[in-house]
Amino acid sequence: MPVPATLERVVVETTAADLKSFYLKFKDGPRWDYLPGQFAELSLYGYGESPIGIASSPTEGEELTFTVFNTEGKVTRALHRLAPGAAVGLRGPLGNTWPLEELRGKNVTVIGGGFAFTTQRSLIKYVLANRKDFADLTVVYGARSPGALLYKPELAEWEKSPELTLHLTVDKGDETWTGREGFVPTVVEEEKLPPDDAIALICGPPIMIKFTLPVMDKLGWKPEQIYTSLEMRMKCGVGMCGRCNIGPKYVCVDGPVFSFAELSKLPQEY
Amino acid sequence: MAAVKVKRNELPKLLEGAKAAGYDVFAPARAAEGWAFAPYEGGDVDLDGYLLTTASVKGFVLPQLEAFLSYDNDDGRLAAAPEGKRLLVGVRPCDARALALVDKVYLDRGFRDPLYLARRDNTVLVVWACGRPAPTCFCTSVGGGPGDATGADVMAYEAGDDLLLEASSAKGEGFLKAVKFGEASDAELDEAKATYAKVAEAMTPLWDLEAARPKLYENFEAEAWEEVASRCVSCGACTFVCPSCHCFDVVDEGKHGRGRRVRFWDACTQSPFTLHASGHNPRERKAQRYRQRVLHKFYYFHDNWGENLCVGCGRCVVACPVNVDIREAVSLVAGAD
Repeated sequence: MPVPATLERVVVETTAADLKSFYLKFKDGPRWDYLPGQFAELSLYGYGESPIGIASSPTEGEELTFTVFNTEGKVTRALHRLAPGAAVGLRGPLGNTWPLEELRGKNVTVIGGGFAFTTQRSLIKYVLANRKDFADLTVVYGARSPGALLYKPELAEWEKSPELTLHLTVDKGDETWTGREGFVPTVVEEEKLPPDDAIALICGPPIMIKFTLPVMDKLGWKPEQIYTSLEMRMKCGVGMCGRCNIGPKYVCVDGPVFSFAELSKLPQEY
Repeated sequence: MAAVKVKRNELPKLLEGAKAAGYDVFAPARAAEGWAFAPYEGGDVDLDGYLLTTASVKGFVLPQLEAFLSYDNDDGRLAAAPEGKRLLVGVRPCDARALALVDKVYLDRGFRDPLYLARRDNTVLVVWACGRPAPTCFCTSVGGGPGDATGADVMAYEAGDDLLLEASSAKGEGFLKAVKFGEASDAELDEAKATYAKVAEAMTPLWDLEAARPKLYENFEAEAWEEVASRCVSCGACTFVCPSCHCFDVVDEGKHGRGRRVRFWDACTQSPFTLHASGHNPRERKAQRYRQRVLHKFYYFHDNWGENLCVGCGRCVVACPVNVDIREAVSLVAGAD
């Protein structure tokens, strides 16, 4: 049963306006306890539900944030038309989390591309709020164009922050872009991201992951040090409706976070 | 408690008693197509020629379509748990076993489905041991059998003119305690069970699944999957008649802000089942989808729960319009190099 929440505000993230962040507050009762990496089903009566990763961190207060791409499906299209004050149902928190226990005390390397960056943002905020529990925090984040980068004000802050190292890149800059141009795998290679005492969390389009993994392998990263978060068509989110499995694992309850060591034991069917 | 002995011709009395005790009683009856569970309306229960109902008992606990939530603009309300006790007589061991398997997903996985749970709790399954399996039956090859009591509340064994009823769950015991009939002796019960054990022995094992199971998975990329699925028309009939297939889809139905959220049976053999919003589909080809169905039955579910998700009822073999046969599929893929 979806829990009623109220849409507090909407932030248009990209110049194409195809990604918006929705800040939601529970109508009755306290906010969920959740951890970075988890997701929820966003429910709009009359349209349905969509599984969306939680972009906020539990360290951030009462609001829950979801950054949603308008795929022009029933639910995301309707969501994108909502104005503050609207009612949205939430079911969750669902799924497992980024490997927080593994990460504790280690160097945290985040590699993100495009709009898959959302639950990585949750993790980054979580690490920054619990800074002493983790060693170095390194973030590589790339998008197609400057306008496609999410969380721009925050990225600007992080670029200046001594708490983390941020390598921002875009495939192709525009007249305002003074930063780096190039693909994520190239940046990972150029920066020689070190595997020592580190865990990497990689999320992005399949093509980015495909070309980044061999680079990481060359740098000495092991599959059990690299985690990703998978997407799959889902309905129930609780392991019953049967469609999100990869072999015997269900992305909704056994995932969405898997290490590449785990994935290597599963059929390549995702 | 001791088993109950009922004369075969006293069965109506037993069922009338159950109705008087508040049960809605269902029994197999001839239908337009084969057999179906129908409300018992008195008289003799003629099971002559009955082996299996065309549709399994799954629909009694997991309706083909059900609204689990209704909404009026922003207000949602969960459907009330269904009430009313039901007694199903003449259920076959394969169907009862299938429900015990579905229980694992709907009740033991972590989330307990309240509607499913209520229906399971309200339904007593009186399971008829099978004396004459059909050529499409293969329960003994997947862990079941003609006298298998898994998932049953009461087991019914035919012994000449008698029917011996033995409780195999607390629910079944509760039902039998209220029944006023004679007792069956242990010797009678053992003798009856022995005849069904003979029926089981006479069924030829199709394959040794312990050996075949790992081969199926190792042969994930085998060309044989293309061969077994080549005729498949992705109609989903196999999944709908299957007593253990339990996947569902969810849709909102309504107008002008009012409506209901329904779940309904879905089929992994159909392409939209896994179609992502992006257009990507991890199981785009029918061979991938048929492989999913077979591996879920014989490998994935076994990996998670230690049981096969196939109960060997053979309904999919009968229902398939193009004669895709899961028995052959297992043989062919497990035997592929």
